[in-house]
Parts: sequence; structure tokens; C-alpha cells
Amino acid sequence: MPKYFAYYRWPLLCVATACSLSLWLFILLGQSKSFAEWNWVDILGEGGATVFIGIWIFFIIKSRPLGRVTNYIFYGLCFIFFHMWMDSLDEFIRLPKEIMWDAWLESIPFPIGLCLFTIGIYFWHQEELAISKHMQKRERIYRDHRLFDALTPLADAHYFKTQLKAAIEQNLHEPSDMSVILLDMHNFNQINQTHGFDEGTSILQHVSQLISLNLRPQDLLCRFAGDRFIMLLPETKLQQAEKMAAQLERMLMVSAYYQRDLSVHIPLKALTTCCSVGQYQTAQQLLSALNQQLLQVKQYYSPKRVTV
Amino acid sequence: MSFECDYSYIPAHHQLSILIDLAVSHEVEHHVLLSGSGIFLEDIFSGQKLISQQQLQQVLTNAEQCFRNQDISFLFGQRSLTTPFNDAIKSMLYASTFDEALSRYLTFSASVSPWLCPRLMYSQSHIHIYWLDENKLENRFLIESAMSAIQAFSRQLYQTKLAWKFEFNFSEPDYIEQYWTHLGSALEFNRPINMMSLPRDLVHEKLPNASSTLAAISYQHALKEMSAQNIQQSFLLSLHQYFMQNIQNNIQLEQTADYFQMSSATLKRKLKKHQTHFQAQLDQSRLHTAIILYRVHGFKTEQISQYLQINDATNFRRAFKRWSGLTVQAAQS
Repeated sequence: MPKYFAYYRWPLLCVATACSLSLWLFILLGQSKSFAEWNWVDILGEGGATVFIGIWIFFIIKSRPLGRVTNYIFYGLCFIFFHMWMDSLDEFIRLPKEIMWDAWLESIPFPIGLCLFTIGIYFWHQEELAISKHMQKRERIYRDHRLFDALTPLADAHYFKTQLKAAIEQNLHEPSDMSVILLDMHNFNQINQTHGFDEGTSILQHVSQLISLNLRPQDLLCRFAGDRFIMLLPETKLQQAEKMAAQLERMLMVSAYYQRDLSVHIPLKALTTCCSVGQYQTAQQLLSALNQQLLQVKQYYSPKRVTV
Repeated sequence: MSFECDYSYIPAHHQLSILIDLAVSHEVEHHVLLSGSGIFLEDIFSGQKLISQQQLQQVLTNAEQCFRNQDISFLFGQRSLTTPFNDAIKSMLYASTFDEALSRYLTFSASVSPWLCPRLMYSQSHIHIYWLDENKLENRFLIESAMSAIQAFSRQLYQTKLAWKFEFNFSEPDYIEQYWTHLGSALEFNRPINMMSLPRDLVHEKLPNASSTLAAISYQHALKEMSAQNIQQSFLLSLHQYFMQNIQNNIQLEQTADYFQMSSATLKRKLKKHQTHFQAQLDQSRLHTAIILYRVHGFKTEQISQYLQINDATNFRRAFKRWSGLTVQAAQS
């Protein structure tokens, strides 16, 4: 049973009652059409539309969180559904000419439904603007829900690569300064081992929020793989990117993360490396060069093995 | 006696529990993960249910499809040898040297790596681990899991990242960043077999976490458990060993069936059940022999083809290309 079905059970019951009441009235007062009289095109068109409106109502309830936008859209769709239902009924049952109420019942709910639905859509638009502002650093230009990482609220490496590819192509036509930062959590494996994998996941989510808060609105942050994050910084010289990367390292080092159950402070440390987009022809070249650079940084910081 | 892929001996709450945990953290429905495997969540929680290799592989295939992230094979692998489910893994985790741990990895392969059977090869300078994966691309997920399992296991034993070198039979995947992050940067694609290698002098070092008493007791328990369950050798492994021993003879289906005391039709049927066929298995053994002869004994192309009873070097070159997808020169470079 969908999440919010219970919340809408009374309005849904009302619609169901209205539909069955009208059906009952039609049967009581009208005369059913013979099979030969059925107009298949109308039945398919109007009946099909009724079914589709029903499907829309189902998915709106199933997917949208409760609130103003959902209510307007839901009630609007209910009125439209009733209108379509009445419309379909007269394909099967003929009412005597002198009865007028059926025309009223058919026409009045429709504009009301459309009005409510339109108001809902308008508020939805405003809601989207608010969400987009919130999501700005996590997606540029277009949205594709399939490219979102399952663990952190960021887009994944695949999305980053498509954006980087587009940026490199654009850079060939009109060169501009653009940089990429790769950030790797230091000793993350040890955190996983000491505090458990769930804690590790929680840290990744924490870190993704922290980095996102410490970037400019035009920057793009994605989860690269495992404990690595990657950023695309438009209009940024390499020197500036280096400064930003160092700032991110400092920020993570002084930030406090507390373990969820024991309130133990877990220190975080990140290593970063960056490069300028202009030097590379393809996204693949850039990423593998960045990976090599990171390897050197990590070697520099890794504890040396001593054999006695 | 060997066991087959539908023989139930793996406790459902061992390796599968890792996947169930991953499904929870990645918000994947467990019934999607378990669909078609005949396993239910209640079975896993009962702690009693035994499953077969086939069922485990089915769940891993589901995992490959139902997780949106492409790091599940690595995450699963990393935890599979570092979580002490059973005595076999304990005897590896507390072994005194990595060499000892690896030999136990082979001995207990049925319970510590039930999704892919590992093999070892010692050359002058390196130790190489490879698997009976038939170079199938469908096994990429399993290979990723097996390699990250060994990598994470060795990291836990040495308390540091080791200089593993990885070779893959397939070409570079588009999610290469997962390989960089989870395995390392020493990666080579389009190689004759899937294999990971480590300098040999490292494997005899004394390990910091070794506990010889605990390891010895766990080892004894694991041996007992193994003979009680009758899982010393899988069907495909015993076939592989028969091939490796007789590789210089002209191996035929009928003789092989005789050796295993079954009819040719039964042998064929069993191979089909394991989603393979006679020629594929024989080719795999020949390819592995060729690689061993080249890497360990430094044989030349002509010597290898003579050893394998392929009289004509051109024929050998053609056959090698068919087995590995590579020319002999490319494989040796």
C-alpha cells in the first residue's frame, strides 16, 4: 500500500461514492444502448482518458510528499476523473432528453478540476525553483535521476564524465579557465574497520554535505567512487583551484564528526589534487592524469614500511 | 568424490549477509536481490539454511543488475574475506605468513570463495592468483569481487596497501574509476587471463596480527568441517586437475568420462548444468598450462606448442588466439 494512501482515503471514498451514485442514477433513469449503438472510438477515447487520469492520481499519491502542491493536484485530478467518468457513462446508457442534471454534472466539475490542477502545477513550479537552488552544486544544466549515487545525495562519476566531456568540447571552441579537483578521504579504510561500514556511509554523506557547502554556486560536486569526490570548477585558474583544494582539506580537518551512537569524535582527513581542464583533449586523459597525481600525493603521505 | 554446483553446503547467512547489508544501505529491496534464487530473507535469518554455489551465483547476478552503483562487486569482495564467518577464514586471518594464508585460501576455496575457484602460480619473482573463470565476460562481476577480496584481505593482514598488479582479459570498462579506487593503479587490460600478482619476497614476511595457536585450531576445525561436508573439490576443479595432469596426452571426452566413471552423455549433461562445455574447459586448461610454462618455466612459443602436443607452431598461435583473444606476442609482451 502506497505511503500516503491512508491520508487520502476519505476523498477517494467520496469520489468512489459519487461515481457509483451517478452510475446508479443512470441505470435507474436511463436506458442502456444496444451493442450495435456503441461508438467504439468514443468509448476508447473517453474510457481510456478516465483510466489514465486514475493512473495519474495513483502515482501522485504514491510519489509526492504530502503538502499544498500535492493537495491541489490531487483534488484537481479527482474532479477531472469524475467528469471523464460521467462522459464515459453516456456512451453506454442513454438518458431521456428532458433530464438536464447529467449535463450539469458533466460540465461543472471539469473547469473546477482544471483550475485546481493549474494552481497545483503553478505551486509545483515554485517548489521546483526552490529545490533547484538547493541542488545547484550537485547538478548542472540537466537532470537525470538514473545518474544519482545511491549512497550520497550527489550525482555519480558517469554524470560527471558527461559534464566534463561537454566542458572540454566547449573549451576547444572558446578557451576559458576551468579546473577539476579530486578529493580522497585519507585512511577511510581504517574508519570502516574500526567503526563499521554503516558509520563509513554516514561519514561519506556528512562529507558530501560539507564539501557542497564550501563550494560556489556554479561549481559541480559529484561522488567519483568509494571515498573519492570530484569537482568541476568553471572560470577558475589552476592556482585558484589549488587554493580551494587546500581550503577544503583544512575545512575537513577542523570539522567535527561524531559517531552516531557513542558520540566519539572521529577525525577526518582528506588529500586533494587538481588540474586545469585546458591541458587535456579527452575526459579519459584528464581523469587518468588526475588519478596518477593522487597516487603520488598518497605515496607522500602514506606511512613508510620499515623492515628491520 | 566431487560436489556439484547445486549441492547445498554454504550457510545462507555467511556471504549473503554482506549483500543483504549492502542492499539495506543502498535501499535495494531484498526480494529483488533474492529473486529467482529460491532463497527467502527468513531463510537467511534462521541461520540454518544451506545454499548451493548456483544459488549464490544467481544472487550475485541479481546484485549486478539491481544496484545502481557500480561498486557493489568491490564492496562485496572487500568484506567477504575480512569478515570471519567460519573457521576457514579465521585460519587465514590469523595465519603467520601470507603464503600460508593463500594456501588455505586454495584448500578451503569452496567455503571462502564459493563464487569462483582460485588457483595459484609461483614464478621466480612473483606469486600469481588466477581463477577458473573461463575468460567469460559475464564473470567480470565475480572477478572484481574475488580480486578485491584478496586485495582487502592482504591489506588487513599487512596493515598497509600492497603493490598488487592486476591483469584483466577484458578491455577497460567505462567505470574505470572504481578500479582505481578499489584496486589501485597497476591495471592492465586485454591480457590473456584475469590474474593478480605480488612480489614473492613479501609473502614470507611474518604478519603483525598472526596468532599461530588460534590459526592452527581454526585450521583443524575447518579441515574437519570440510571433510564432514565433503567439499574438498568441486566438479569443475577435479575436471580441471585431470586435464592439467593429462594435458600432454590427447584428451578425449570418452576417456575423461571413463576416468570419472560416468557415460559421455552424463558428463556432457553435468557440464551443461555448470553452464559450460567440454571444449571450453579443455581450452581453459590448455591456456593456463601455456601461461604457466611461459611465466614460470620461461618456455618459448615452440616449446609450449610441443608440450601441448600441437605440432605446428602456426596452429598453436591460432589456438592461443582463440583461447585468450590475444596473439602470443601480445600475451608475452
